[in-house]
Amino acid sequence: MRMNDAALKYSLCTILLLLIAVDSFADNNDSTSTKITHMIGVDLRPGYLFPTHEFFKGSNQAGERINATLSGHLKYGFKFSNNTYLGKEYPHAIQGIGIAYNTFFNSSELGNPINVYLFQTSRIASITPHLSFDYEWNFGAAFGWKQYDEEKNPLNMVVGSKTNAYINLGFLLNWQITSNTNLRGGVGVTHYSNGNTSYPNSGVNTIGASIGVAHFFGNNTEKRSSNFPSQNHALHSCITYDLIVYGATRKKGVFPEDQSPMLVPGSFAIAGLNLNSLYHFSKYFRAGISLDLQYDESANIGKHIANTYIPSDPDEIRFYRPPFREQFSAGLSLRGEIVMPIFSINLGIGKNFLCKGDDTNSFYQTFVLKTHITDNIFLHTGYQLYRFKDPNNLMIGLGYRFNAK
Amino acid sequence: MEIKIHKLLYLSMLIFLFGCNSDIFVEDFLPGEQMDVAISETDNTKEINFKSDNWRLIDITPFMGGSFTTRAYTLEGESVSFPFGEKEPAIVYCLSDFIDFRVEKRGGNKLLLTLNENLMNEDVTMLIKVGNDYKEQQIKTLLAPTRKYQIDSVVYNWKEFEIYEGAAREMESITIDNKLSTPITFVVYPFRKSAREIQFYNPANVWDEELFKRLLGIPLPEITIPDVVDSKPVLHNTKAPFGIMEQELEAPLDKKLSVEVIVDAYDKRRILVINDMERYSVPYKVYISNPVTGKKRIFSGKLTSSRPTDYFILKTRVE
Repeated sequence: MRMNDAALKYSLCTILLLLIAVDSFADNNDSTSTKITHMIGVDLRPGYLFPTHEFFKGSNQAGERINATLSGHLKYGFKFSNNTYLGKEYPHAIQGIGIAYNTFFNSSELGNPINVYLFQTSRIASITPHLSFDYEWNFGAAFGWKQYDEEKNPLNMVVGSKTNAYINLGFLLNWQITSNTNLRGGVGVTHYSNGNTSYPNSGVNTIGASIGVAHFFGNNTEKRSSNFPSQNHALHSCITYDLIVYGATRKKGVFPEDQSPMLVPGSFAIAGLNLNSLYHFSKYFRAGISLDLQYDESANIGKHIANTYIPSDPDEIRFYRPPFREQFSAGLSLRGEIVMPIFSINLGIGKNFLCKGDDTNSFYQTFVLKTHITDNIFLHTGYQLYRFKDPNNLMIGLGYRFNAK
Repeated sequence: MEIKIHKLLYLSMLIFLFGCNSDIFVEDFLPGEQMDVAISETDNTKEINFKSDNWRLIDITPFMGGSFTTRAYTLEGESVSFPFGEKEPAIVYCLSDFIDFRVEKRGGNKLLLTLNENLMNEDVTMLIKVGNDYKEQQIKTLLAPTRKYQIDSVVYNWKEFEIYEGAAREMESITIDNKLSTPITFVVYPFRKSAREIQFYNPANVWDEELFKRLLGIPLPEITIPDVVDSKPVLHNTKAPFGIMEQELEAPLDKKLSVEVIVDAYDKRRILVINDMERYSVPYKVYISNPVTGKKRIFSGKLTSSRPTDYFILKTRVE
């Protein structure tokens, strides 16, 4: 499988799965149009690109710094009406899909990616009856990057695939101009990477402003009297158990002794099982411990190089399959989960306690988006890092919640 | 809803299946750096089991002097040569005058080593190199010496037996210049340096004593050689090691026998001690065989013998 194919495959799968989830949720919860309020929005986002690589500092074919970006967004979203359970529980939450066109003012080497993403926005605090402080996250894929190519794009040692994951988090002031129209402006950070499915993968990071208009169709009345609705803790406090099965592929680099690092051809399989035991502190927040099991086909292969002499051509390198003990790891992690309609964002930090070899004997961090299809079933889209900095693998899978209420 | 969940499950399974990077992995056919194998006559076959079949025979190198030949064949008996293709079966015969060793790769995961003969008087090391495109590994095979040949029979061709009697050999020469007015007496020992000399000779080959030591072992076995009685050859109990080209055998003579020689006053004489010699030659064939392998060999040539039988002393005047 080619590197770019892997990234594209995962991006498409992720989007497909998420769209199915949103569709399923709408099917289950909103049988009539009166239960949801539709929204159309447009944003313009100028930004500053962090010069995290020499390529951005001028070591590119144009010979100029690349430090600016601009994107235009078109979004469709919906929120649950006040007469629904979710509408009462999360009156300000809007979720939907968006599409954006990006420019980095160097289309020949970076391209002009198109982002297709899911978003969710909600209120953090009300400032005045018509002004609130909101957040918004975007998660999706960016298509159409100009990737590194030894002959055609040799200086772009940043982007290794045509398709990259797109993650954005923004904080906005939301001014209700009319009953159905809002003006929103703020700042946000954006990260693009391919989840280590191909190399290079230095990542593209930006910070920028956002200005946009959102227009609602239908009844947009809502209570603006409180930041967060009052909570009956007793109703929400319980422990749920999320069993997640995930898979992914990943690229792998090895560092033979006295040799230059080498990117191993092909993609390796990842399979994992997580059991999140989460206590519901409130309807917005859960936390607990997770047992994390993972099989990584590429783990510790650097110690099992088959070639008597390390070849100069990476295509010729081969490995003996490491023992299962070196490919498998089991760890415990602390998890915190922010809960919103349809989506939950789960963050974790853990340490493998059953492992063998440098590749698995490590602290790890997880960033997960859970997309609920039913009360019990959710899609799991995650990413795992080692040592807070080393990209490890994606975690694309399904989860089942036990003891869901 | 259930249909969608099933679709998601199938999709997830496909993602995982496509993820396996099996092409990048190869099986380690023989874990470890080098394998040491010892083979002896009593345990003359060794089967080496490989973890996988992704290897081939690359080369077989002996660590020994002398010429060495490897002959390789397919299982059907067709001649082939190194290096073989991966997974290609082959039978390789490693042969020399003293080594008979066979390496058989009949299946993918086995290598059968068979020692038929190591006639060297020491262990012989064979390095069998196996490998694939990624790894080469040596199997160090130590071949212990095997059973030597034994002499089955010695056949003399009496029809071509030739005897030469009446020959003489000068054993010693002394010149005595007596300037005294009286005669002097001098003692000589006619058989002091006398010995029977025999020679095995084959004009077709250069005599190689090491060859016989390897074939027959150390010490070399003895064969009965003819004596001459009444001008006719007879086989008594005179033995000589077979394999040494020229030998001196003890002759049944009194080495302490002394003879007084008198030189007159004012006389100068050269005294020559001479042995009468009995010489013969006879063609021979020595048949040997290996009791373990059943292999047979024949050595032929001509045996010559020169034996002192008597003496005489000459006193010649020196001017």
